[in-house]
Amino acid sequence: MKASHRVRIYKSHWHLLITFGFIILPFIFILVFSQLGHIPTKQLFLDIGVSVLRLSVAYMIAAVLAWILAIIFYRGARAAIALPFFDVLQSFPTFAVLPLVTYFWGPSNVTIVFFLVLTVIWPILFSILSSLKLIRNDWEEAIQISGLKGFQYVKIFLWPVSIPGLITGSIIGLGEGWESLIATEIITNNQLGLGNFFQTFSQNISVTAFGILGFLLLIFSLNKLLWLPLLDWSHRMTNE
Amino acid sequence: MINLITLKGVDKVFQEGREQFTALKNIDLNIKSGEFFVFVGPSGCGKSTLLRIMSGLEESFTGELILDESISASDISFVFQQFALLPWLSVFENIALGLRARHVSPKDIKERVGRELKEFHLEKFADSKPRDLSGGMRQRVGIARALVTNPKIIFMDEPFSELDSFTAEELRKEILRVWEARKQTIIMVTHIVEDAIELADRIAVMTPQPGKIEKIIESHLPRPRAKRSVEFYNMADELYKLIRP
Repeated sequence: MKASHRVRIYKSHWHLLITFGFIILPFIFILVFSQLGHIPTKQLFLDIGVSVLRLSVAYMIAAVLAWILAIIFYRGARAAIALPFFDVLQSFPTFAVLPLVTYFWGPSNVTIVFFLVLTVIWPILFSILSSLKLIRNDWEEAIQISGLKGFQYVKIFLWPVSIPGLITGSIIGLGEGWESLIATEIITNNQLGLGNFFQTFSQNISVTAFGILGFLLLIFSLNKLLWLPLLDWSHRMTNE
Repeated sequence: MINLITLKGVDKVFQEGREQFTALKNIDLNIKSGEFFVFVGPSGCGKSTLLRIMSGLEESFTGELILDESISASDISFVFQQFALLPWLSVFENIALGLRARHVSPKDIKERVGRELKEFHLEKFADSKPRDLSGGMRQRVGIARALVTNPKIIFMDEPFSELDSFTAEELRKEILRVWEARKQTIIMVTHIVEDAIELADRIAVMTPQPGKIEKIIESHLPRPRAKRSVEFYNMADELYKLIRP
């Protein structure tokens, strides 16, 4: 395949270099901030690493589950039954079940990841559903005439058309996920993670403020490096 | 020639809330093997709906649709008005779609798609995405995709309506050339009377509200058909009279 015909995520080497700079920036910031604030650097990076890992695991589980549910329930009689049910579930205030989940699993990683899955899954599910519901009629008819079925149908057709929804939902879901992550880590009083960091320094306004700034920088960089180019790529891929 | 498709008393009613709209009323028709059959009529006369019923895309109707026993679903292809190419696949992959569904070996896919690419002068664009092509080239890809599985029946739903007149003219010639060489049955829908006369063995004139076949006219004009001949004009007059009585 010729390079000129590929849908490229990064428009130039400069684009790649600058976005790479965005991911380095928060780490430099956190390093300098930990030195100036007399915070143990290792502990700070461990807190960040653990939180990122928890959210990543939860996101992976939520994305896979949401995609499978969307593929199964996006149309037909199954959709008529399942979609109102999903709508009720996504409106449910998830924090209401946190004490129950903590009661069963304690202030553990399982509790936090489980709770994060509950938060992240709905935006991803509904975004994928919306992508699948907007499939052009003649694309579906072309596929029907071609005779594609089963795994090939999913791989060649449903997977590509679901990608824009998956990416849009991931951006929204992870936005909500970061918020829930910090809240859950604080509420469950877990001894590791960014929630623990913010709780420890809750009396120190300047450390908290710079911590929030570093946190925002990290999220901004992730969006700039990963999600926004992916979103752009996915829309270009499915646009004629 | 055997009857490939027979329609007996086909009706199609669309239901919108409490309103009912009769799109097709009492359609009786035979289409023979190897025939170039064209439905012509104004917008809303149900010609596309009829095409979709015959191709199996529309399953809800009353009456009888009888396909010759030699025809299976894999013997049917469709060329869409707005091309219906999948934008994330290359030209090659779009054309190969039906072959992949039939589990043809990669070697044979390469060979058969290569043949169609050559036939429609698309070799240079095999790796391009549909968005990189002009409308005419996209429709060539759509036609190549329909032909590559070697179907017995090809349905075409207004295949030239999205194209400029020069490109449409070229494509009509290409379709005729391919049809004469391969002798497949082509069933096409158009609202352009001149297209119907240029291409068809038989023309079914349809009128709306409710959609019905007004008359089926057999064309004996020799091919290639001279668009400025008296016979061509006479047939156009006859068709226009039937459409706008």
